[in-house]
This record gives sequence, structure tokens and C-alpha cells, in this order.
Amino acid sequence: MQEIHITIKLFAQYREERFKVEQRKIKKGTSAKDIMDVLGISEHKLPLGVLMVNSKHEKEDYILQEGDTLALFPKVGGG
Amino acid sequence: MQTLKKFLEQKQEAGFFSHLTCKAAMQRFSLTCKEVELYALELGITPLRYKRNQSTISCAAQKQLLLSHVAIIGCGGLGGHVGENLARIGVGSLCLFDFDIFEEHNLNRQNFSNFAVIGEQKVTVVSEQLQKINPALHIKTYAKAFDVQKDFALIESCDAIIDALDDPKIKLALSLTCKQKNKIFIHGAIGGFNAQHATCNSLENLYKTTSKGIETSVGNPSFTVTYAAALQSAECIKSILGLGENLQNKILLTNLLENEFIILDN
Repeated sequence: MQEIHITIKLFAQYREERFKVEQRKIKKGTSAKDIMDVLGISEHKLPLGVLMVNSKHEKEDYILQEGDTLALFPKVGGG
Repeated sequence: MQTLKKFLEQKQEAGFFSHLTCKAAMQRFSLTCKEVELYALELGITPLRYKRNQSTISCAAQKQLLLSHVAIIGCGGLGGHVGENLARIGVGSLCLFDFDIFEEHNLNRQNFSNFAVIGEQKVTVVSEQLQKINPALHIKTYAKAFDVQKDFALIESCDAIIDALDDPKIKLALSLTCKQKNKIFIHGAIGGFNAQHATCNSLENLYKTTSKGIETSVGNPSFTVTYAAALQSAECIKSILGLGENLQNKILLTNLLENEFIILDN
């Protein structure tokens, strides 16, 4: 099974009981959504705002590549 | 009979004139407050209440603001504070939308809310208070929920539109319409210690789904609201006057808990 190395950066409430930044070894073919599921980040618990890979906006189905930095920001919508 | 020009030139002191002088001119020449102030600014005479705006806001810019029209969609946390900032700096016309009344749980953050106004329409209270701050201000109020499709025509002539809504679904829809119609759209949103801002951008990258954000669980403390409203006000004034740089094609994400200020490309 091929593995790749990625960096995960979490922001705001996502850091609570998780981390700010972490390097992880993951299976090749893993999507951003798979990582969110592992971290317990879902629409019901602190919905997702911005998802970026290497400072570019991507969708949850993005397949992570070797060396990618995934950044997740929770949705903020109050007024 | 003495002309308004002569009257103002005689009464001005170091380029400024008081509201008392304005009221006398209104009566003497049968003019509105806005008409007197506009005429005075054309002569290079500034209402005294703007004395501390200069030289950040020049006399010509002050006139441009007096002629400007801004819509504030939502008069809760962000809207009430943006409204005060715009009234104080000298925006001439405001259009306020909010369907809601003040409730006790608004008092932690919403401008002009207090125990005496609980149960009253937000747009009515905010409008009355803004009028006391700036008597030249023209305000139109709409005590209704803003519907982008039905109500956009009411704000289409505005120079800038402030997103002070609390619903990502309407925020997104409003941003898309503003983009399409090439209107200045000033986005702000808050949740806990966090805020986000964008100017003249559509919000698809921020709101991929229509659900509400973290604010439903973490709430909205006063300082995040006033911080976010101040930034929106600055973006609005800069965009109207063409000053400096605004957040076009950018997203500013703020985390006041850890003092992070991150600007992303939109």
C-alpha cells in the first residue's frame, strides 16, 4: 500500500481537542473528506467553511497528493 | 436678503460651522439640513461634527459621502454598529432592512439595544438613534425579512450594500446578485472569536452549503461584533471614496483568540 505525506492545518474551533498543525502519513487516494471524517469534522458538528489545499480553494472530494497542505476553516455566518 | 453663501461665510469659524448655524440657515432659507450641509461643503465649509474626520476625510470626500447611499441588510449585531459608523462619518442616505424586534438576548452585542426598547422593531430604533447622531442623514426603513429576488430592486441604486445578515444562504444569494449587477458588496460574518470579511466577492468559497455556521454553538460576543463592523465600515468608506485597497478578490479571516489575521485569495 502506497503512502504519502501531508500537512493538516486547522483553524478556529477545529483546533479544540485536535491540533493546530500536524504532519500525517496517509494512504494514497485519500480525499479531503476522508481526513475530515477521521478528524470528526462534519456538517452537523462545526460545519466547514473554507477548504484549501496549498492555498488554493478545493472541494471535499479533492484527492490529496504527496506534500500537500490541507487547511480547514469552520463556517462563520453570524451577523 | 443675505444669501446662504454670505450667511455661512460669516458664521463659519476656521472652515467649520456648528449645527446651531445649520438650523438657523435651514429656517432662514427654508432648506433641509442636508441641503445646507451640501451647499456649505461646496463652499469648502465643513459641519463642525466632522472636524475630527479631517484630514482622513477631505472636504470633497465629505461631500461625496453626504451624496452617497448605503444599504444595510440586517440591523442586529453588525448592522447596528456599521450604521453608527456610517452615520458618524457622514454617509448621506441609508436603507435599513430587518424583520426582527429587540429581545433580551440581543443586549450582549447589538448597538442601540437596551431594556427600554425590548419588543420594538430594530429598524425603527436604529433609525431614530442614527438620526440623533446625524440630522442630515436620510433613512429609509424596511421592517421585513430581506428577499434577494423581491427586494433587490429597492437597493439597486445604492452605492454600497452591507451584508449584516445572519443566514449564509441569503448572504450567498446577495453576494451573487451584487456580483452580477456590479455593486459594491461588503461581506462580514462572525462566530465566537472569529470573523471573516470580503468585498465585492461572491461567497461560494465560504458557503458551500446553506447550513448556519459555528455561531449557532459558540455565539457572538460584543468585541467580535464591533471589530467586524468596524472593518466592514472601513471597507465601505474606502470603496465609495476609492481610497487605499479593499478586500476585492480576497478573504480576510480573523481569529481574535489567537490574534491570527489571514488574508486568502478568493
